[in-house]
This record gives sequence, structure tokens and C-alpha cells, in this order.
Amino acid sequence: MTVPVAIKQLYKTYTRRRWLGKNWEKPVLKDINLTLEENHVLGLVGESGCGKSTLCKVLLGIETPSSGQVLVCGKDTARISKSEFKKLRRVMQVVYQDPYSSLDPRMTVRQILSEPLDIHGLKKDRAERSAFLSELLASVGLSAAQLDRYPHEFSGGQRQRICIARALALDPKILVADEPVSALDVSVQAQILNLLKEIKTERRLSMLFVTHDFAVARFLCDDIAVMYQGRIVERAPAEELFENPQHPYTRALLSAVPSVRAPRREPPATRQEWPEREQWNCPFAGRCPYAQPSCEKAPFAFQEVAPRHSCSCGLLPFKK
Amino acid sequence: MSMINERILKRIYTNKTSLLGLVIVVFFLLVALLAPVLAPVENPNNPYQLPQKSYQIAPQPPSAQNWFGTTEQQYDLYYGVVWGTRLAFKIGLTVTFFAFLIGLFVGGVAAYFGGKTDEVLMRLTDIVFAVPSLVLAMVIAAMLGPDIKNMMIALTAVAWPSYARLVRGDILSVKQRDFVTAARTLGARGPRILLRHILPNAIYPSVVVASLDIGYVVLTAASLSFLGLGAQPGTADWGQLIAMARNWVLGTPGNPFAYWYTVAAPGGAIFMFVLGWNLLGDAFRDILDPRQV
Repeated sequence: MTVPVAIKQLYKTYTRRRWLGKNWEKPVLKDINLTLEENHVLGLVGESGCGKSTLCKVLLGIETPSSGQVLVCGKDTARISKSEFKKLRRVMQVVYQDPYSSLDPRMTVRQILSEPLDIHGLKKDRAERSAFLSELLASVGLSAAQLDRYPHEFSGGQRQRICIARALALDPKILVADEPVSALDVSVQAQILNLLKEIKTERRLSMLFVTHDFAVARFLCDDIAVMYQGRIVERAPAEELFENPQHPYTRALLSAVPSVRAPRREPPATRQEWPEREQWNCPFAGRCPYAQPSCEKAPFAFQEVAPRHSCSCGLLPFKK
Repeated sequence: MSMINERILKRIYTNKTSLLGLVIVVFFLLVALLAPVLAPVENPNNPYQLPQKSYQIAPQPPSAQNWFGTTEQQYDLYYGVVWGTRLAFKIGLTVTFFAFLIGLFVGGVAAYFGGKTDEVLMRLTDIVFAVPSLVLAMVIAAMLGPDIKNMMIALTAVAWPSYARLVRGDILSVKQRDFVTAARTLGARGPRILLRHILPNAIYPSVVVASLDIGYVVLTAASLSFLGLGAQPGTADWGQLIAMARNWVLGTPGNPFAYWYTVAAPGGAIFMFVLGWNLLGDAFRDILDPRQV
């Protein structure tokens, strides 16, 4: 049994060619290793600009990896032919963050949901398609009567349901969710999260769930990977991560989560910066309050702190 | 779609200036369509040929026979204004249509392929932009020879770059939006994305500019005709009618308005035509601007 998604030593660097002088280069993903297991939700957490969305794009084949492998159902997405990739698209679908820009404003819901079927030549019979679309819409909590409306007639939460329906039209095995609730109201967030959880159980989906909200991640995710500046710095089962966060960056993120009841456990660690540590081996050194002189030369490597829990900080284990 | 049409009509009715624009344009449209009824053709081979009453030089004031008077060499101004309306629509719509089409193609190709293709095509449009459009149109029209068809070619040649630039920009901004990426992850190929998602969302600003442009095209055409680079003497063309009035505009010593009617009718027609399209174009812009919705 192959895992749905395996990412091995993935690097992605954006380059811009210049007429004169050196090319402009920006490494965005560095040495990413991830596996997404069947019927699991893997949360990807990190601050904006850390490469979460780029990782999604590379996984979906919208961007090509600079080096390394992305294996979807055992197939290397960079090596297979276009027609084979098109078949693979049916297995892997996406829901984006902004429900306002992810639906074509000049298409009705029926047209939007029909498009994936048209592209892959499925359910060509008219009655069969109509029944399928009604059922699909019902499965995300909308009614078939809304099929001939335009996106602007729906609220943000309803639009996100339409996006989910579109992603499910091809009956995928993998769903990439790029911050699907961060643009929604808190009360609507809960509805969409419940819907995603339901769908995941019913359809046995594997999900890569990108978020910057720990509460959301805790609700939905089985495992969580924390990203910082294009690298995964810590990976653990969700509960384990919350109970026993190891990496200073993870701890900083957790302590920065605003809470209504409990006072902060420790002050947010990333207030202070040490620009002189930019060139150190540890990517977090520039903002790490625990950094030691040894961090400058220590190689970037993972160590297991608990079963299935690995972390890249050299100062482990961290004790409370 | 019917919903959008209803919204457009409602907007036009509730806004007085856009209603005025609509009335003016519809009026001119009726005149153009009913030209054979309003001013019966005297030369069936060329209805745009002005009937000549006599060979007397001096223009004659409006009379029961010649409602708008006659211009130099007794060409009937009423006939000229009526058939000139038809010619104005012909020039305005044809030039704008082809300029729009060329601009759509060039802008689409530039935005779609990007890179060097984009660079070359956009610099080409910059070159056209660098020369004042009337001057460039004059040069092209003079090179091709004075003729209505050549004048339309010259006008198209200077009008397309603004559409190319606009379409390119709009395509680039629509291309960034998530529904385009979503279509790609569904497995849609380039042509499908371009035709079904990008163009329908990128084309509307250009439609607004086109509706505003129709008036300007007719104005520029009249300028070229006035300069002798468009319609030939004796043609029912507004610019040509004003060109024939050139010697009489200043009137006689002591009475500057002696021959006012030689420019009043064709000049008024041009003025109203451009104004009508401008108001209507403004209305289109208000309606299609997403911020207004």
C-alpha cells in the first residue's frame, strides 16, 4: 500500500532572470520531507510567508519543484506525462482561502460544478448529471434549488461550501485545503470545519490542511507540521504537539495564541531579534531567545523526542 | 444574463445623463436607419453623393426646399447631415470593432505567452502611443491616399493599442485569481481557461472604452475629412461638409455670422453624436464597474 502523498527532499527556489548581473533567487522551500497517510489530516502551521502555500502549489503541480520528489499515489508528479497527470488530478483536489476569488463570477453554480465533469468527460447523461449535482450540493449542505444562482448571491460560508463541492465532484482521495476557513467569520468557520471533518470520515479522504490558527488545527488535524522559513522545524501528532511542544518556534507560536481565559504561559519569544545570527545554521537563530553559541555551527537535523514526534532544534529536549 | 440586462436598463433610466446619452444615440440610430426615407436618394449608384442644386458658388440660407440651407456649390446640407449620420455609424462602429478585435488579439497573446512575446508586442504598442494619434492617422491616411476606406484603416491603426494594453492588464489581473488556478487543478487546459474563465472576466473594461471610443473615432474621422485626407468633396460626410464651409466660416466683413448655417448643422451633428456616445459610455462604465455593484 503506497501512501497518498510522499514528499522527499523537496526544494523550491523562485528565480528571476536578469538582463545584467546575477539572477535574483529566492529559496522558498528547503528540504521538505512529509508523508500524508490515508484518511489522515496533516496540518501545516506557520507564519505568513513561510512557504505553506507554495508547498500546496508544488503538490498540486501548479509550480514545479526545483529538486526533490513529490509522489502522489506513488507517482512522481514531475516525471509523468501530461495525460497521466490529468488522471492524477481526479485523485487530488484543492479548496482555497478566499471564497470570493475562487469562484468564477460569471458562471452559475451548475456551470461551476459541471466543469470538472466536462473536463474529464464524466456523467455525460443529462438526467444523471443533474441528479449527481443535486446530490453533491446536498452533501455540502446546500439545496439543489440553488444550482442556477451566481456566486455573488451567496455568503462567504456558502461560497466555501460550493468550492468544497467542486473539489469533491471528481471524488478525490486527497484534499488540499489552503487556509479554507481563515477568511470566514468565526461562527461560519465552525460550520465549515465540521463539514470538512464529516467529509473526511465519510469519503476516507486524506487532507493537507494549511492554517495559521492553532485552535483550528487542533480541532481537525491528526498530525501537525510546523514550518519556518521554508523548512519543517517540528512534526508531531496533534495532541502531542500541544502537550509537549519542543521547538522554540513552536513554543513561541503557541504562546502567541490569544486566549480568553488563561494568561500567557510565557511572553511571546519572537519579540526580540538578533540580525547578526542571520547566517547561522539554525534558521530560527535570528529570533530564538534560547540560542547558544553552538547553534551557529550545528547541522540542521531532526531528532526524535517522542514516538512520531521529531524536531530540528539542537537544544533538545526542552523541559517545562 | 437577463438579470444583468435589467440592471443595465434600470441604471440608465434612473440616471438622467445616461438617459440623455441613450436618447441621443437612439435618435441618431433612427436617422441612420431611416436615411432613405428622410432624404430620398437621387443617385442610386452612390447614396453618399450629395445632390447638387446648381453651380452657384455662395451658400444659400435655410429655405423650404433646403431645410438646413446649402453649402458651397449648392450641396444640400440636410441631405448631407442625414446620410452623414449613416456614414458616421459605419465609420465609428467598423473602426471600433476592428480596433477592439486587433487589441484583444494582441493583448491576449501578450498576456497569455508573457516573456519576450509580451515585451515585443507591448513595445510595439508603445511606439504607436509615442506619436500623437491624429498625426499618425494623418500620415497613414496620406500614404494610402484620400478615401473613406483608407481613412478607416488609418483610424484602426491608431486605435487598437489602447485596447491591447487594457486587455493585457485585465487578463494579467484575472489570471492571478484563484478560480483560474482552481480550473487548472481540475485539469483544464490553456484554451479552455482562456476562453471560459479569463476572457469573459477581462473583456468588460474594454467594452466600456469601446463605447466611449465610437464618438472619438467619428470626431477624428471628421478632422481627417476636414483636412482632405478622408471623404472626397461632394460626399455626405460631416467632416467634409465642414471642410466645404471653410471659406465661409468667417462671414462677410462686418457680419461674421452671414453664413452661420454652413457649419451649424454638420458641426451640431458631430457635437451631439460625440456627446451621446460619451454619456452612454459613462453609463456603461458605472454599470460594469464591480465597485458599484
